[in-house]
Amino acid sequence: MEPNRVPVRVLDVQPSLVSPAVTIQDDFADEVTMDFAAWYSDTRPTVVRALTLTLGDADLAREAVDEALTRAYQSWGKVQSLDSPGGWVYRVALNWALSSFRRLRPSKRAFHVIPSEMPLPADAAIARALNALDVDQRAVVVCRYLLGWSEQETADVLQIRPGTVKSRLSRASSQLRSQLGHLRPESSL
Amino acid sequence: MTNPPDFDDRLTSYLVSLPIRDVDPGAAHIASRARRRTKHRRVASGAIASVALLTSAGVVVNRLQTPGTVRTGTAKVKPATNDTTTTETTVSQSLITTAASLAPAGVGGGGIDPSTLKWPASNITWQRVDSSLSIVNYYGTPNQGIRKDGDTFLAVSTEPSQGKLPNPNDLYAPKSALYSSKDGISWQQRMIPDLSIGGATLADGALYAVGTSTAAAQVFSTGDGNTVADLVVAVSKDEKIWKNQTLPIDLRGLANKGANISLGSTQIAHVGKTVLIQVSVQVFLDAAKYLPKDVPITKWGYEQRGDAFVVYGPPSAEVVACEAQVRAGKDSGSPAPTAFATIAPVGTTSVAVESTPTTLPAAGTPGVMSPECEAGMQAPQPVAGTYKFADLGVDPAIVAAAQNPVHLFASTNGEPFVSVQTPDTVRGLYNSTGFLTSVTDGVLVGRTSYVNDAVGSQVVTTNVVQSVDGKTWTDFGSINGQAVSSGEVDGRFTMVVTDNRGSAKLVRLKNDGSGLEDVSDSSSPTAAALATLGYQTTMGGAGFLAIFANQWMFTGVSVKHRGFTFLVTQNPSTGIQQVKVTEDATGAVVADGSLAPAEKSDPNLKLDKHIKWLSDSQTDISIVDDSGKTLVSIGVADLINQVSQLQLAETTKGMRILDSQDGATWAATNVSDLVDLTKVPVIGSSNLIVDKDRYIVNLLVARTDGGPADTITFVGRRGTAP
Repeated sequence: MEPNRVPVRVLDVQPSLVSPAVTIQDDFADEVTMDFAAWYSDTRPTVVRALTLTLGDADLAREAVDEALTRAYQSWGKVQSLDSPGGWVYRVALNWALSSFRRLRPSKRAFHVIPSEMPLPADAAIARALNALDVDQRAVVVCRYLLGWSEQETADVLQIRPGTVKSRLSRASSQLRSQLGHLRPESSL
Repeated sequence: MTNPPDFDDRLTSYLVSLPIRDVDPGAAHIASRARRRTKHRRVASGAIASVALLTSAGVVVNRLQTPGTVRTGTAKVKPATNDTTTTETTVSQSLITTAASLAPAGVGGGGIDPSTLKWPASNITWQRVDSSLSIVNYYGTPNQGIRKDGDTFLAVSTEPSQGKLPNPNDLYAPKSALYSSKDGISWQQRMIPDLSIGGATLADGALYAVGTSTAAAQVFSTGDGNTVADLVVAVSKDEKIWKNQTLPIDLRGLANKGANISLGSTQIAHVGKTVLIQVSVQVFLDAAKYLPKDVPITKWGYEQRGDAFVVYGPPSAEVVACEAQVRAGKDSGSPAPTAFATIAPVGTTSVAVESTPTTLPAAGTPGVMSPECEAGMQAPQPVAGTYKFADLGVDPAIVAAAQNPVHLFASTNGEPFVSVQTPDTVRGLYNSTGFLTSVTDGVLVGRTSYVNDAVGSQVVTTNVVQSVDGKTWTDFGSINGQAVSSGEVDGRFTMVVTDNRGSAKLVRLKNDGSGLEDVSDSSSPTAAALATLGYQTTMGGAGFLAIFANQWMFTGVSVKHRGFTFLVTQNPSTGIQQVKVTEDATGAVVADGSLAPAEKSDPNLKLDKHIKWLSDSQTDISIVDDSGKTLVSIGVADLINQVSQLQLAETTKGMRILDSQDGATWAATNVSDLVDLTKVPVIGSSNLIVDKDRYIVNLLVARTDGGPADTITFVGRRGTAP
């Protein structure tokens, strides 16, 4: 299931995130903050969406993204110079969220199951299939299908080898295919 | 006939269009949070340079919030006078609440390291509840999932069929259900139609359950396109015939007028034949919709504050100049650490500290913020404009709702619920949280408010009032700090209150009922222990219960890399990673400190080599020698990933359940005595409850598939089997 289209490309291109081991100091100057505010508005919704879908926990995703954005602001001079500041935020937030305690923390109790937010029947199948993936696989799927990144870009953001991206996507695709085959065009079945 | 689309399209469509609920704090909030953190860090670094930790009578002062924090030894330098490190102020009340209930009290507040305290063995006998039940499952809100009415325990938990999620990362919340028990051990589900339950109580021979309706007719869209449902109370005497009432708060009207609505916690209690319900309803407005187009809400950020939008402007010239001062230091080359302290490995004791007095640059030195700048940085972010909702044409009902998120309703003798006007001191503010606690002779309503003072620091205050009839109120005054748990012990209303430094104190109603008093005795070792009680406490007739994960800093994952061993541990409560680096050839500890707070190379982490790392998890830890040559680097992400895979039993083997009958003398039960931690990886607790003679603990158990934790329940009684 190699994605052959790029539906959305809301984060920056070429997220090369192999950061040098440098000491980042505070450099939020006047003009930088203006840049930050504009970039923040553009970036945050997409990163929150991506991480929510990756983690399956909107509260945790929101918390993690806010933490990552805070760090981005602290190191804005460096972060903004990266090829993909948005990718940087996604990865920092993902790492933060996956630290063991946060990953295993109790979720907030849902007060109400919102009927209208329940997916349509076909989407319910997609939700189930996505949820059946582990978080590593889902991160790859989100990077490729939601964020529209290439294998290399995904590998850079997730700090894994492109081959690992490929293998994770392959396993995820295989799993998705087995559960979502009924959604494929008849000709391809 | 049209073929169904390829599932690639459906998948992408799903990913793009799935409703994601988000509360954007705004760029200004994030910037302010970063500034505060940096500010605190600067102050902290000054403190840590001149503070060594005291070892006295086996007590280790522990400052986990400062860089390179945990050290043991004999102090040879005087304590810092500018140690004003505080816990970070987060951007929303929900986060504040979460942090307060999860962060170990005492952390950052100079409390006593719980690992050094010797706890007597508890005389509580514990019994595990049938594991096939899912009482207060993983999503239980701490201390709100179970309550006791008369001789009956009531628990809100997941429906039986959804108790064990088929998938660890299910995107959708399972439905809630109500269970009851006479002994805390055997539980039965109580069937309540058309209700997603938030809480329940037994009063005057009837069961009262409050929640949101699941009936389609009572679900509607809010201003932002999300949906919410009417708040409903279901009442029944026989649990066959139910009488439902929609609480008198016009959520639908607010939604129709464009408000975005988020329902928060629901609490229910009763006094005599009066049932009280407290609900939190957050109302958010779309600033872009109401503010003039030329207001730069995305430039410097904005905030919805009470009855107005506060739109921020650029930082003051003084702040910019001060930041330039720091940058000047960076641009001229990072100031190399010039003073290094010999620091004992974490967990060791009585190791002499060879500490050198601080050589922090004087005020005005490039690279370090001067005291004048520090003072200037205390100023809140400049406000470019304040726009009153009323002036923006916002409906008055929305204006009122936005200012008052906490609502109280009451019903007496089965009459319809009506809105209750509590005294002003506990009325909901836009920036407040509330609690509702039953006691023998009434009900307590409390409010913790979070208000920024003139210099932008958050002032947290808790006010409490009591009522014996649900109508008239007695004001018990206020106390600084946030109430994290409350209940009745020995017939007196009691709270555990934390301040913004993480310290805890015990607050009780005075014997004469005239007001609240702090009964913590800082000179008492056991009272001092109160400040370190861990991340969750509760209380009731039988006393207190607390749980915390101890000794987290002494275990971890070991990673060998190019001649060095990185030992990484993690505080399961705060998430802070601790790293100790040892040179394999010599066995020398070359660095030991905390990852999370460390911003840059910290001289206090130095032994005979200089380690530098960044707090951001995307960067490397590097060890350089004194000439600046990098000896080894390893990715922090790799280390953190290793920690994530750590055997939880290793990090939680010191977890204890603490109990006390008076709040002064405590005893402990080792969690490892209750379960085999190698097979049942306990990571914490979702719920604690104490009634007049029983203690109940819901332990969170990590799932091997990484999904949300499961819960197992233990019921304890003193001396005898439950």
